[in-house]
Amino acid sequence: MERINVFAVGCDDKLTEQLSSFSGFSLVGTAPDFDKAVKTFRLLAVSDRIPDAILIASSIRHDFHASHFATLVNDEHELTVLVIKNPDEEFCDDGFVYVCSPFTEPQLRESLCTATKIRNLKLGMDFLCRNGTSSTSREELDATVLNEQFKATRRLQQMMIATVQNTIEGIVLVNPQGRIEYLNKAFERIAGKKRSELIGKHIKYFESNKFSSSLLHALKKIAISHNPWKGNIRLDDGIYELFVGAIKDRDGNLLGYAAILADISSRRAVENKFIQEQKMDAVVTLAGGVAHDFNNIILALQANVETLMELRKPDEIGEKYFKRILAACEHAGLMVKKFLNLSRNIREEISMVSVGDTLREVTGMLEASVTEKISFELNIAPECKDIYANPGSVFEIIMNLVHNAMDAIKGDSGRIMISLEPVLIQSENSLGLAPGEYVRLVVADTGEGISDELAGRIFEPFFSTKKSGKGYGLGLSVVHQIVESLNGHIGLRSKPEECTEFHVYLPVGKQDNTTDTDLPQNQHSGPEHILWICELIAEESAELPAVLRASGYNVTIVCGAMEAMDMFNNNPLKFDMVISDKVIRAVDGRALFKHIFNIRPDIPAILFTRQTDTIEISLSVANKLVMLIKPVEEATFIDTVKILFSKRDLSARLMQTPEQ
Amino acid sequence: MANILVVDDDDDIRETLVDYMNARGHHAWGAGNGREAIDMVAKEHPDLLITDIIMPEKDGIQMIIETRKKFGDIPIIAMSGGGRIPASVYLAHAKALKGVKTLEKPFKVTALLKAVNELVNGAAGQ
Repeated sequence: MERINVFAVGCDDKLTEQLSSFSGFSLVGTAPDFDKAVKTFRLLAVSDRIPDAILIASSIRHDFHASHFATLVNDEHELTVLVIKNPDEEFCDDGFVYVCSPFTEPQLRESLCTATKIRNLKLGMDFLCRNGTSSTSREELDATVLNEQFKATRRLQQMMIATVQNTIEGIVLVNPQGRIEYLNKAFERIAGKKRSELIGKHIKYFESNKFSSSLLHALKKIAISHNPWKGNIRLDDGIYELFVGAIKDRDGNLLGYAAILADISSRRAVENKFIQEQKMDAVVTLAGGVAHDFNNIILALQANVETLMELRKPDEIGEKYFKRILAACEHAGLMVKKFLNLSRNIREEISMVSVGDTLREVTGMLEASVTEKISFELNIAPECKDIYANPGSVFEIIMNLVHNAMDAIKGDSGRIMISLEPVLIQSENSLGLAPGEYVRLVVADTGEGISDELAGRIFEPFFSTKKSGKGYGLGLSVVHQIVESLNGHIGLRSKPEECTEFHVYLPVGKQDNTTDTDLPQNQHSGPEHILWICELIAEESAELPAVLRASGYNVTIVCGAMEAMDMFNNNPLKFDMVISDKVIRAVDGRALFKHIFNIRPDIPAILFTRQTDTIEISLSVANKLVMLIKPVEEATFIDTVKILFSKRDLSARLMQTPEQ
Repeated sequence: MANILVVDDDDDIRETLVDYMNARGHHAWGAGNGREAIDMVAKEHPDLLITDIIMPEKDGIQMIIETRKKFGDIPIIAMSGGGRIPASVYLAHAKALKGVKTLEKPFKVTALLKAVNELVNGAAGQ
């Protein structure tokens, strides 16, 4: 027989000894009072050794509160409590079950049984009181308990059904024969049919063949492998992930199948965008790495042909072929340049550019060279304002778009319509543009047009609809890149066999978003980042950067002007200040700083120099450039850095206030 | 006629330019990197240097500056095909020096010859 675990509170040694001697009982703990008892109980509870009953000396029975133990056992009523009274003590009807000391083992067992029964009864009574039933019979008690369980299950089921009903995933339940037993609202929407039309039908009768065949395929697979099936399917309105699994009862009998359809179109779009960005990154890396070698190869070819031509004075025929080689070399050189443009986000010679003037220039140039079958129509609104950009980039945008239009025109004749007009973009627009004044350039042609499918890929590098040899597929991706870098937008509208229209939006005036908005944010988040340029890593450079770091600045040390330029080019906005340990190799240093200030005219800089150095730095950024003569005191140095940063904050604020 | 040292780590370029300069009546020879070039300038005192910028061992800019320090104003033609950074940026360093001309690869050899002649004649004229 299993031993009964008891816990004694307030019992004297004699009683404790007696309890220990009973073979059917196990005294798991004792305590002099309830405070200590609760603590000991807690320890027992931790090791899952909650006793079956508490024996309480009658002298302290009034201190007992079941609630003390409530947190330690699942329910305070689960505790069986037995009060041990002295023989001379009078019985009092206070709800406790009593046993009279001294007692035998059977007596104790019997009293505990009674106490447990009464506890159970109390439990039932409480339960009934809570549920408002007056019946007290055991059967009814059981029935009520069952009913309660049933109710809970019902409630859970209802919740589940409501969830399935209303979830955004489409859900269909199919019987083992493939007939539809249930479908939720989302599925009705996807299938485009009412529930009543589909219930009882076989899945092969779904409108969409693609869906039916996928589902059938999935069911067959599951029938063989018993594993759930997962795959993507493209339906008319998007891409869905289809999950199909078998539903079985507890004994493993097949009840049916559940198919869940989740719309993953938007996830796909995000993934595609991400892949696209990765592709661009790859192109950029490739461009940089390959361009150098390509230029060498082209030069070697070209130089040798030229040498041959000069030294051998070829005849007429030879000359013709040599010239072809040279033309090809030149072409290759241009291609490398174009390719490199992709990878460069360096803002060179930015100034106010008139898009209208550039348009006239480009069309003037091209008109002279095109055959008569192509006619240009130019429509430039005179009120168009200038944009702030690299003139070469604007030229490249227009040149590429017009060239593209010319290539699109096949057959006898065609027209190219180019228009430029001012537009005001509101804050809520579908183009994703910042609100403000823009110019809209439209280049339209009456060429062969492009299908929607291809239109989506047209800005990818190396994507070309032209026959191989006709184009490199770089033109439009270059345009796209430039337009993006100017915070503009490019889109196209096309009707196959009829026309194609490219729309380019470019912000008017000095809308240098990167310096106006991104920069201050960048600067004020976290500690300032200082680029420390030195000539040799070991050379006296360790001390002052350490001082800077100790003052809470973030310092990146780079050796050599080239390396510094590289690092700066990679992420010009990363740094808030540039410090040159000493003026790096006269010429280098000057070019480096010129370059840095070209990209970030706002960046503060400190140059270390020696009194003996006679270097002229004629950079027009005097207010943010400080020359310090080495050796410099730490305090002076830190002060200089702080002053420069405070100046920068001031100028950043000034930049934000509209100036007239 | 000038003594010309052609510095480029690309064998094809170096040999082509050496041959071309020799064919045009100059005396040219080659070095594969900046370090080699410095040694040769010390030993053979060329009248003019034609150098690439991005090279192993010692790059063109380092070489030019060292040459200037050690051997004075030898006329120099710096050439570069660029890389991750445009050639013009690399060459901007070189351009800032007196007596340095720059060419972006690929260029026409006639343009190189013109630059050589200008520098040699200019130096002779001084």
